[in-house]
Amino acid sequence: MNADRAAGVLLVALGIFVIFQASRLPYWVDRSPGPGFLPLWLGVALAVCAATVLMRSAVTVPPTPEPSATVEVRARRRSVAVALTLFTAVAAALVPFIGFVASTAVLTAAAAWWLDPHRRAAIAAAALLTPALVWLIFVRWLSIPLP
Amino acid sequence: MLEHLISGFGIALTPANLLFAFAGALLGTLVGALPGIGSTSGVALLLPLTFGMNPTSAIILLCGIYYGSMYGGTITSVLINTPGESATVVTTLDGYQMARQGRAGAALGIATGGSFFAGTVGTAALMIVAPSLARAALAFGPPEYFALTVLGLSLLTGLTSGSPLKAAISAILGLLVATVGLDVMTGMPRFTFGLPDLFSGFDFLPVSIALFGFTEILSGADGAAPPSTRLSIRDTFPSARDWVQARWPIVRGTILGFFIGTLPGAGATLASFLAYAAEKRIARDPDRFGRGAVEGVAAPEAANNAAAAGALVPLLTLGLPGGTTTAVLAGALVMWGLRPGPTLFQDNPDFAWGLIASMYVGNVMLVLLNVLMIPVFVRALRVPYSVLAPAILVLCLVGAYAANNRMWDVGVMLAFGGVGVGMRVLGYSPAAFITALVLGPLAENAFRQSMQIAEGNAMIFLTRPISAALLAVAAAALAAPAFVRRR
Repeated sequence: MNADRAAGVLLVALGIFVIFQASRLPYWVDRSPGPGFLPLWLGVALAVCAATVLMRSAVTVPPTPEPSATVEVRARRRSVAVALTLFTAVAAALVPFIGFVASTAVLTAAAAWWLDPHRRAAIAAAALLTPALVWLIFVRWLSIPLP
Repeated sequence: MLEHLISGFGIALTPANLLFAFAGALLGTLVGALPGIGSTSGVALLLPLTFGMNPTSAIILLCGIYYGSMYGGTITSVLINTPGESATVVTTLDGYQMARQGRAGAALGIATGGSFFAGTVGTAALMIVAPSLARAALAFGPPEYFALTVLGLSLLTGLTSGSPLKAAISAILGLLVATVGLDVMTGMPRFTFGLPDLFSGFDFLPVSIALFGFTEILSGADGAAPPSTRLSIRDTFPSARDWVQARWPIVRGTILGFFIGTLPGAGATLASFLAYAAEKRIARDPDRFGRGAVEGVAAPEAANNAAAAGALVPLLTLGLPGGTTTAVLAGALVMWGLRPGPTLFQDNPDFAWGLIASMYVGNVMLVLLNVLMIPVFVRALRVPYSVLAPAILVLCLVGAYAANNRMWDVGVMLAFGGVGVGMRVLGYSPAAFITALVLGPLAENAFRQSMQIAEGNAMIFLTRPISAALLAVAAAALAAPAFVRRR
């Protein structure tokens, strides 16, 4: 199944789910549209548009396979994207335990190391300077209560 | 009027007030460049600085922050594709593409020039046409607001260069996300699944940080090249050709932005989106938009700065804050013992005219400050990607948190970051999604209020002249592409 088709299936399912949920909300209240009015019609529109995407993807010729070198580069870069997301999620999860500023130090160090492990001095500088600036600007200057 | 204005300049040009105007422009630029800290938060956070100051100096400082933050948001939009301010989201579409082509300085220069022109013309318009425009803005009831948002939504497919069907789906998804939370009219929860954090819905800023800044970093790792680091002095400022291309979009953006700014609740974000969509719609070669078109930076930047001036019209002439930032300014005025409204210009002429004169002065400060700083901002792109990317991730994290001071929004940012990557890979439009997220609540509330007024009769939208005219333009905008294709 190609990506367009998978997205189409997912969006049709989402549209049906929205219609189901919206139908449980009042459609009309005091001679005017209720909280269920807009979501219901949005669900219908989403399901119809997504079904159109699905039908188009069924009749579209699939693209020719990419050269293996391109696929490898893409796979490597995708792994970096996943790693950066993971580091950010871990840093967010660490906030209740080590605080926001220390979490940003962890995130900076981990992400900089993953992207280029050879720049050790730059990694160390970034890991120290970034949280210091966060603390200085957001906590000291703007008085934002970072946890 | 001229006599009052000269007296206003006498107040604004005192050394102390010049210093406050400069400090406001500088602080505003810095605050606006921080994702999550928009003009409202900036003005509110820095309000305590004005305690003990005389009201004229205080409002000069706060208006400098307000103006400066509008421009500050542009810097990160252009350089790292992370909007510092909701009104600069649309600037990312072409501004960042210009940066990728080694033309970040040109983009920032056009934005500065457009902002200066719009701010100056907006201030002049505020001075000349404010009272009559404020009365016209009051003629906008719920049906007219609904028609205006429909016009905005009808221009959405113009924001993207990909499939119109996928742009429509993106807009529907944005509208759906906007319905999440407690229904404002009945208090009933919608799509909250029993989660209290969802009662207030999805905040615009964490979602926009996710779809633009966070996704950009992940997409950079997924194949696209990082911003260009080539730089010469010639590239640092816009060329004569850039100015020629930008001049009419700046004028149109200024007019549109000022008018929308005067409408209570509409704001600079809507103005910037509409200005961009309108420019793309009338362009001879709309395919250039989204690929680094100068007009795509000029029009929305002029619009959001003109809207900032326009938003002061209902505040100063009617005492009605048009948006959240002007609401904070209204609160500040009351705190200093002044009453914003029709009598402000008569009761406190020194304050009112000092403020207007200081807006001209503040605009000059802002343009000088930014022209001098452009080479510094652009050199930030020379930082290696392996250092810049983690710093941007940290900005995204802090920006998402600072929007409402809650970790929930960080989770929202992460989740929508995944959605954003999926949208990019599959050719859906984050810009259409985010515009619909902004316009959704405005459109739904205005629609339901109108229907309540008309007791369920939808003809209310066609029997009121302004609303009918706006809907006719929206219908024409939707029908035009099909008509052109058929010919």
